[in-house]
Amino acid sequence: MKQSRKALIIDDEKQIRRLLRLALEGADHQVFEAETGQAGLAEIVLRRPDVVLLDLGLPDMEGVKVLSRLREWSDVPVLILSVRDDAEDKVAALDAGADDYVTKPFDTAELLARVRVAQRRSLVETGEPVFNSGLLCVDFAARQVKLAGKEIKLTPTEYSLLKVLVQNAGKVVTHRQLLRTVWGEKAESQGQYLRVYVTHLRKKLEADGDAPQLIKTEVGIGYRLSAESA
Amino acid sequence: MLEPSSSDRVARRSPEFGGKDPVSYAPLKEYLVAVAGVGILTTACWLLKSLTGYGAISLIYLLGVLLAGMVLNRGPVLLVAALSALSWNFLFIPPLFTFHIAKLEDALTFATYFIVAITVGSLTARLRAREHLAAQVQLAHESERLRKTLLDCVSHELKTPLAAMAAASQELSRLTAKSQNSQLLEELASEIHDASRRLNRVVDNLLDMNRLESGVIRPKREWCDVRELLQSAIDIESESINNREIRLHVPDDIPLALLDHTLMVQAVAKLLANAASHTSSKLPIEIDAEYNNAELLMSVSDRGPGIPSEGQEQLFEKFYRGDDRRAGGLGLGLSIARGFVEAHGGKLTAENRDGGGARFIIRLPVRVSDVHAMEAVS
Repeated sequence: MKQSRKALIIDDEKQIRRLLRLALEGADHQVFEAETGQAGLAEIVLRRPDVVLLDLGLPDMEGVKVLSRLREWSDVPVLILSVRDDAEDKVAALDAGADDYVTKPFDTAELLARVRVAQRRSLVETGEPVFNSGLLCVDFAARQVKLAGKEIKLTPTEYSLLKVLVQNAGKVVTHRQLLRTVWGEKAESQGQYLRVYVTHLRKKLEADGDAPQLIKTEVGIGYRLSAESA
Repeated sequence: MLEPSSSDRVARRSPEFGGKDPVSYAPLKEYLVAVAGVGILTTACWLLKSLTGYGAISLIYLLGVLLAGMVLNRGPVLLVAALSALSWNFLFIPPLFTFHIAKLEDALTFATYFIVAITVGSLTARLRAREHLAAQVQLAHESERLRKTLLDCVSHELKTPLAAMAAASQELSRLTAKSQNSQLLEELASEIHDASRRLNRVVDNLLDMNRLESGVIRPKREWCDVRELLQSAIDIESESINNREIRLHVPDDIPLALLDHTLMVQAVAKLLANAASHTSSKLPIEIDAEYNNAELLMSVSDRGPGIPSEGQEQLFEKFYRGDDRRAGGLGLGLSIARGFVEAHGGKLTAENRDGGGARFIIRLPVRVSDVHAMEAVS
């Protein structure tokens, strides 16, 4: 029998917890709940969940604070739940170590997809030499990129940008994370380079430049390489 | 009878605001208080004169000026300073009842008093005005913070149940696939889902409107790819667009622009939603962008019925819904779009197109990047 995964929901809204429980149990998760940040941290120690769903607006402490406390000793995948439209909060949470986010009202299918991706170990950790999803194939050892079997020539910067996105396939990567990884610490404020290179990448990789399917824009937050349709 | 326009109302209200401003105006009452105060002080000094001598009287007057500085505005305080100097000279410095001063010593004291009184008076008054301003700024900060907290709270309370409805209806439709009456149940679940989406949209619009009106919206400018921005707007409205043809025209060499990506995506999305709800789903919607004369132009055009010639500005008024009530919504979308554009110092206007249909044009004065040109070379 398949060992079920453990999920912890930290949210003060009972109704939301109940619904998340239904959805997650439907996807073979054993579900635990916590109402406050403190209780949530305690539950993580006790239950050792495989994924944490964390609301940003908790009554006792800011969700971001829960996250940074948690990240001091655990690298459990964390998915942020937020009703706030404020992209800044989400970016802060993502930069503080959250793996992804969903905005309420959320789509159950989308939520489960995000949970799946967040739990998947990153390609860096697995040491997989080749990324293969749909039409896109990236061979890290040979630094080679193929689209539908045809080799695509990328400049070194374009390649390292694509590499970061591919290594986090399915997950959102913030502007800051991309700038820092590709251009280094000092480039964090140079958002214009990022926009230009994403445009270049799209020109080379997207079938329809007017409706990008591969590199998705997350408004005000960052980019996401869509793993499913790629 | 014509209703007074909103600008009339503002104009009529403004003198009242001016009157409340402590720095620019002092009411007549304060001047009367100043004169009366000097009168009372002078009487008191007259009675004390035999005890103190006329030299010490100047210090009592100076005390009066200080007190006046604490409660009155600049003008009346300066009046107190001048009046007290003159009364001291006229009533106390010999020879009495003349403005003439006999001794050099007295003349020096008088001149010094005059300067000190005027300086002290204006300094205390300025200090008070600054305190008042600081208090007002503090108050404004407090009320803005309160408003934001309140908005966050309302947003949370309204959207949580909506999120629950949306998620529950989705689960429901997933589960009903196995049931006997699956067709009917599926339809009911999808009704609930549509209703929750519609309500969510209304809530979003009301909250956005409130944010705009309370002035909490300030653009956070970052470098944006205009094409990407327009694509995001199309993504957001994919449901209301519902597979109709969108023609996107953006020149390849359009530069990156410095603007608030999130706000502008929202503004364009509102224009798209407006076009989608007022025109037949068979008609295409065109989106154009160009950079010209330090201005970024983005327009959304349709081939619908166009705009009634007299109603071009009315369109952007809150709760204006046009003749076609079937389109639904509160009539806030265009008003919010205009608010977001104006927060950038831009303009949103509407016009009729040649050959029929409406065009909404966003004009933004923006800084653009030259990185694009540089990259093209490499």
